[in-house]
Amino acid sequence: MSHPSYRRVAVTGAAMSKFAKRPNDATHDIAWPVIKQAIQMSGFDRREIQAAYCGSAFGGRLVGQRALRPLGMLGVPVVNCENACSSGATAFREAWLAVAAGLYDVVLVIGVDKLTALGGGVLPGQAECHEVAVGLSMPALYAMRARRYMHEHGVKVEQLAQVAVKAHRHGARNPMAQFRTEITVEEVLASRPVAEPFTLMQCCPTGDGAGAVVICAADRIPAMGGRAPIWVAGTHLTSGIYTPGIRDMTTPEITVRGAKALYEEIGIGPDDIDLAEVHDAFTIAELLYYEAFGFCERGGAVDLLMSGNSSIGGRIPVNPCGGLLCKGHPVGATGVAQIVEIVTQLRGEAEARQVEGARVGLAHCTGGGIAGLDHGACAITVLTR
Amino acid sequence: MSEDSTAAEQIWAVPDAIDHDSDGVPRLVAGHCAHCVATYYPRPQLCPTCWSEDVRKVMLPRVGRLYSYSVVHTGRAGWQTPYLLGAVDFPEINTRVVGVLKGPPDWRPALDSSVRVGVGQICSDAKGAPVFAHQFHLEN
Repeated sequence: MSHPSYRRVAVTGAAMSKFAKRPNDATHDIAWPVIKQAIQMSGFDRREIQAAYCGSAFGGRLVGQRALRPLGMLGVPVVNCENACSSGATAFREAWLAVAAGLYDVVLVIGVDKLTALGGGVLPGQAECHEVAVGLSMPALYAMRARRYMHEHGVKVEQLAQVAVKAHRHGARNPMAQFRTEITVEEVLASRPVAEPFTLMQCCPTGDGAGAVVICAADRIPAMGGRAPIWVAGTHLTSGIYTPGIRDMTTPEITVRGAKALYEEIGIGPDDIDLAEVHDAFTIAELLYYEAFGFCERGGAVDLLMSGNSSIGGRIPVNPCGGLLCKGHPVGATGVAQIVEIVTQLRGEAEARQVEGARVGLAHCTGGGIAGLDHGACAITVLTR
Repeated sequence: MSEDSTAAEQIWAVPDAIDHDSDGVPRLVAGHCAHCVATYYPRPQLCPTCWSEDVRKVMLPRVGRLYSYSVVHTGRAGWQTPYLLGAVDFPEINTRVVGVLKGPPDWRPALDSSVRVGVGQICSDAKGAPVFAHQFHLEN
């Protein structure tokens, strides 16, 4: 939520690691090179960073301090944020709030996770959750959404698989992506089943990685070697509404509500967005989010996908980096990495995956399975050039 | 589990969520707020709507409607895969319950099918002991 007295905030530095399986690297060794790169890009000296906000879902305690210690940067306030898949995006929002409200002028945001430390497979659920206790997992939850959506809108598995094909077509152009190869519908459907209708290639991979950005108040923009500051038009964080009874799983309540609130707050609509990074943890998710953000009508997501208008070169390119499906999803890193991608795109530095003329980009990070909620958390940020 | 385990010592995935009719048919137990009449599964100690702590036991109908499901091939430790997991609606009292679906091999039920509440082992715990819960079966 914004406030008339809030200051304008800009991103000046943004960097991420290649997402990959790095079981032999410590979490702090995944994070510090990225933090160093972001600060060097930002135009600030490390001693000008007044606070750090770190998002991590599975990194354990004091992840921010562990990441900053190798850089000799401690002694400032460090806020560690856990909000499931939205951990990094939540850290960004809290950092933005601190700068916008005047608490600090220059702040670092980190997102990092090392999922290979969990041993692979499906992410652990909350054992205390009664739905997890009877066999629910994130793939199964999204799979149930998918099956209902397919039932109601007459969608075929081949069309669902096209989301993964598009993700890999984009990700093949992204040197930071976990996968760099294009795939076919046949390959997607022939990969091993995980939770029907999903095969492996319709699920984001486990992996390790980090992202970091430096933000500052408008009156503290430093020289950045010719790079433009990228402005935070608005950022919105919310939690899912507890709806324990019968509810429609084919429309993502938390994202629909968050998108509407942010659009109204900053006075834009879906037609003003030039590109979007949405939380495509599974193929169905990207389709649901086309509709949630108003990029198409309800039930029109497959048509939007198949038209090519959500691809690079189309009307509203979605996940030009490859998205979670192809770039990867080290959970706490994702929200920050999405911001990095938008900043890179708005600066015109995305090379082979560049969305030409992009001036407004949206990043959307939601997740966390809790019974009775669409998702636990959802953070949406709009950045402008 | 000891050799002389009794039914009372069975491990339940969701505690206190099953009761039986007088004819022995298992029923899911939800909570019904005596103050604002909202219903929740499983039965909470506190009504999230009105904060009343007078949340009474209510039995869900014997038959629900299958909203969606997945055939899960990648399970956690203690689970035999593949297994079917569904979300089952009880529209009479606006309640949805997630649970294992039991049917013939390679069963792929139609959405909106009627399913009947049953009980059985769904997985094993870390010590290898059976864990029981509600299950849903195709209603004939």
